[in-house]
Amino acid sequence: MSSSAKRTLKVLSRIAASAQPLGVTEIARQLDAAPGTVFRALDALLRSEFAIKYQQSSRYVLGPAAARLRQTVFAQFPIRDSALPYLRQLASATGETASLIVPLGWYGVRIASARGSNEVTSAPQLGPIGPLSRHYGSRAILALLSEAKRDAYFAWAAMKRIQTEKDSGLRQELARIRAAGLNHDSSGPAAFALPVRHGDEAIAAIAIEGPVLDRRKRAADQVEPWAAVVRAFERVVAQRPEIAVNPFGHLDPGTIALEQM
Amino acid sequence: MPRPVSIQPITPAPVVYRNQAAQRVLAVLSAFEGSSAPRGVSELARSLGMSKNMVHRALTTLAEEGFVARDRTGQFYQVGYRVLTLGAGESEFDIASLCRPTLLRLHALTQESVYLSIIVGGNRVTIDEVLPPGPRVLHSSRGAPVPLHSTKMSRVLLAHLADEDIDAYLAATAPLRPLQRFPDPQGETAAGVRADIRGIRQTENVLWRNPHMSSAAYAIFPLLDAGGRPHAIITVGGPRERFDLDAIEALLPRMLAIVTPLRDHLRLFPAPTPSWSGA
Repeated sequence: MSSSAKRTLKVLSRIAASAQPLGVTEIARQLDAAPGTVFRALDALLRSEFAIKYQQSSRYVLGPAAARLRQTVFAQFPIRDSALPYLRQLASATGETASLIVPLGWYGVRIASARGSNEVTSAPQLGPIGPLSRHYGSRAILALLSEAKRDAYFAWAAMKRIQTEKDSGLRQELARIRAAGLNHDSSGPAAFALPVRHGDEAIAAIAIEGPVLDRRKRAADQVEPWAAVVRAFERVVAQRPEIAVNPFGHLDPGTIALEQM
Repeated sequence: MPRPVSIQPITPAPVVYRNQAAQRVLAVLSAFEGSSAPRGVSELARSLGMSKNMVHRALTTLAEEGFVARDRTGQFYQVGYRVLTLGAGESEFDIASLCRPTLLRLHALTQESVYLSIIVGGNRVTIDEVLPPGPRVLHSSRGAPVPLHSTKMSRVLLAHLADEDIDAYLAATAPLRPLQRFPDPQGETAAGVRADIRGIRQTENVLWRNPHMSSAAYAIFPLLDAGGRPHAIITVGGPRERFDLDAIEALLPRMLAIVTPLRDHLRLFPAPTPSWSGA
């Protein structure tokens, strides 16, 4: 396939990764490409609605085709539809936003959330949240992977130069998460995550993104009513194992890359 | 006399795409929109009007960058993980946020308790509420599960599920356990639940006062998707001294004027698929 197609996909990724609308010159500089080449890529992206002009300016943002395609990927995780009512129950019971995080290769991806009912609550974005060890929610998944898979993760993380157990005491932290059955992130606003188990491993984690825990009391005691909700969901998954199917679970996790192109 | 002018039809210039290879790749990628089933080269070529060779080359480029991936069988392609990096911050369909203004307006109209309840597993769970100050006769604790066969509110949600889902629920929960808090004879046997469901299905809104515990009366408004499956119910309830069935009936047109726009809006979204473990 021509390099123009690949370049067009790179331009699309640059627009996606930018917090601001991007102009031709800026994209050309980032990709070390000629402005004319970038302009032709943008023309293709405009025609297919993967990009649109930002408020009639000469800068570009993602278009509706990108959003529709992204929703298609979210919808391919059967666990999303099944978990949403449980997320809403947790968001209602805690007042804070509850979200569902699944593994995708060696990364964590937030694929669903239910907004908390408190006046001030977080609104975490859907999409990749980084390598499994980076976020307290996906660490609850990493902790409950088999030892062989955890070793494979550490080997991959070392190759990718991601912070690992050598400099962070991560293995001890994962052991603590396994023993407690939850990950309590006391470094920030006392958020916590509960693994969703299926068989011997975690297939997902449910994170409560807010300060619902009293630091003076044992986290496990306070979390118990919400852990009961997660256990009820685990029983549903046990009865309908098709819910646990990860649409990318058949791919070699080491080949999946979610960083910017 | 002016000579007649012959008008030549203007033929539009053929559109020349300057970046045809990129156009083809994006067209192939777009073909995966909304498709949960993996797609094959031949089928894509047919639907896009491209040669199989063109589609194959486009898929190879897309697969190299993670925008599509081979499916489990290795024979077909599915939309790829890289697509997840395209954007952020979509608004999630959130039933509680959508319903909140309606709950507030119903409370402003009636001054009574207003609840929003959904199905979670085999239970009804109240996820939002607007309550009047002072003691209340109707209690629906936020976040606490109530089995779908127990209480009229639960059975209104159950009644709008498909018959096979109701059968599966009753089979999974048999034998039915009665509520301890107050009498609910219709929720104590499968036959009673089925009879109540038939009655509930006869009416769009349920106005109800428990004859075995007559302190409260309430109106229940199901919120359904286009297929008639339940998103949620809104319940407005209060003490019968001031909110008995005749008072509810008198207020019903005004309550429906508040609820109907929300009902119409929610028909646009699919309701979640029920799932229960029997617990």
